[in-house]
Amino acid sequence: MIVLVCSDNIASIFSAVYEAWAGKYNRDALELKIDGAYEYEFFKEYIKVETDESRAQKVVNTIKKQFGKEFLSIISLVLWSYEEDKADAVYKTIKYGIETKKYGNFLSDFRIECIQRINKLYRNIYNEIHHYYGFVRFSELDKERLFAQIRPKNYCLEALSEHFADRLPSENWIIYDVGRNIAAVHKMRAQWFIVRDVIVDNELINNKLSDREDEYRKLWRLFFDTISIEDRKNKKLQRNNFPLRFREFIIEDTK
Amino acid sequence: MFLEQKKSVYDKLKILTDAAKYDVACTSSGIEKKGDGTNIGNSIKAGICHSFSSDGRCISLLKILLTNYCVFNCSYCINRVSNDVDRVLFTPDEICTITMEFYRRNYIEGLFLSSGIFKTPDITMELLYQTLYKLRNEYNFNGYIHVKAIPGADPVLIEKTGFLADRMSVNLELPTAESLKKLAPNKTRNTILKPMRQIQLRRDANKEELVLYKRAPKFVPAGQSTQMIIGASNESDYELLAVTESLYKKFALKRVFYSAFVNVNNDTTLPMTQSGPPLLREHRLYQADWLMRFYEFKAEEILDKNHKNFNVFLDPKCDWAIRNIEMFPVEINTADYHNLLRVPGIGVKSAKRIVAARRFGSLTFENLKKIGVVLKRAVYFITCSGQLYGSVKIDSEYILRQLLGDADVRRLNEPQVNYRQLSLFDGGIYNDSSSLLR
Repeated sequence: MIVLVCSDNIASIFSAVYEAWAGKYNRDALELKIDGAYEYEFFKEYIKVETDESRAQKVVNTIKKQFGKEFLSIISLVLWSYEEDKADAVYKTIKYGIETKKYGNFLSDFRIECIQRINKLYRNIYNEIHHYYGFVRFSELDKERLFAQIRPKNYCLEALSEHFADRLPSENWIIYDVGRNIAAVHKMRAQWFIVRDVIVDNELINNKLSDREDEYRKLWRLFFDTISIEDRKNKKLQRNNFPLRFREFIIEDTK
Repeated sequence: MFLEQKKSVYDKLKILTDAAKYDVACTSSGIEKKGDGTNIGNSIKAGICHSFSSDGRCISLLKILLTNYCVFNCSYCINRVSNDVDRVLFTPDEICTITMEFYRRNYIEGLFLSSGIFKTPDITMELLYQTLYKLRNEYNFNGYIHVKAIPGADPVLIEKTGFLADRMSVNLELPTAESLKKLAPNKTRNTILKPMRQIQLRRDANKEELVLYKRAPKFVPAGQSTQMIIGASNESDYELLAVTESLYKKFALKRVFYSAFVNVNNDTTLPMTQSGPPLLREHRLYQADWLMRFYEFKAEEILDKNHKNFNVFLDPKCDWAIRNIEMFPVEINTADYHNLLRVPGIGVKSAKRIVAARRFGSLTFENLKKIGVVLKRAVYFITCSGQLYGSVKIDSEYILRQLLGDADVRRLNEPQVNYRQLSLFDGGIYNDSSSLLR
């Protein structure tokens, strides 16, 4: 069994897909793994794949041509999943599509295991992004800058930035992925960009909160507490709809 | 009267949120609106929940009243003129500022503005219009706005407001003209249905304008909704459902919302709700409402003159399926989409997935599980390639026993089972399909 090891980014994973398909190895006895996300097993040969942008692009072109844009956009989102087997599921799905001569999006074929997996990963990340559309909380710092922190399981930062760039085009904002130390920076009416290896000092942030930030937080907490109907109180329903892991950085008191 | 105007924004927000909380319909759905690249705000078709309050309900919009001053005296309403409560009035700028500051912090998806009747319907509607005008044109807000049309207000004001809002609603309040007369003496069926019809007709005309000229201003683009109070008057579930159906058909409403009655005024002429609001009944209505909007059911299929109220033990779809057991089993690999939709445990998404997936080959029970079908319910009503699941029998008595257990089947046959006795079931039933309520 050959294991092709790639890094956790789209170019590297597609480079590995290219390598797997190139004919050097037996395609049926081959796995893709993300570097650092597996334990060594005996009797398996581990080969590190070099990232090659032009090879990755060829894979993208083939996918787009044969399976269409919709397929590509689903696969691209899946590659932002936090699940370790995503690269292998993507490889096996592409392999299945080519071998069974599929044209167009075949991800609705729920009979096939690797396709079931792709759909599951897709739903998981799609739902997390949609949750964060609502659960992101910006704090206003001095000079009207907005700052938010998130801790998603999947890599949601770029999808969220697209959304907030469209929604808040005239604001200066930063969204910081605490678990990954990555931030998206948006300057007023400009294209946003990603900054890696960012460390945020929470004390510093708290010292920089704008003068009126506290006032609006108070108003929001007041609204939150008042809008609930006592006769309908249902903490269990609240917990189902609003899982605890999304509450780390919210302003309102949900206890 | 204006002495209270000196109250702080904090106090006003407290009073006018508290006074607005019984209004349902905090949804921000129905419209996909991209940002314009300059101004704040966009909208997502599915709507976005920003938080969940301790009653478990979604908070999407800043749901407030413009004022809780009210000249009407509706017996169910906390803001009725005969109640001795603190009265305040927001200025348009106060509402605009809170909306903008909440929105840019991503606390909310937009504004849901309602109001008590301040002096006259026209004065109230004018104030609502002024507020929306300011929010759109001075504060340049491009996010979601849901505003109430005030019954009895001048049609010109309603029309002008409709060009600034995404959604408008006129509350039907009570399902029959009789109940309305009894509980809301200042409102009539006519003053409620008139603006509803006006909004419907103006939307139709607007659709034609938009065909001719893509950039024509949009009138209430996310559609019209309404709400009814459940359990304050004596109508049967069947009557409620029939009214709902005609609102969808005759007034082209996007949504009808139901609000379980809470006797906030402890009014002795109304039902007491010490054992809690009729949440299970409200839940059943939403389930039936879903069946009509997405599952191609007609009201009289769900309930009829002989079956005037919902089965408290079974959801309306299971109940229908068991009463119509001769239509089953449905063969998963050949049945058309409409028949798949009728199977308990198969939702709109699963039905679509089944139709898409079986083009590639025959589906098994195991495949259905992965597709998202709730097999626990579906197995009694389907076959896969001609096979029933395990030792399942297509027999209504047997299925009832499987779905409910012996004890509940016995209770089902007792004549006096009502919602009150069933309130202990609420928790479980709720969690099962709480997503329906969004």
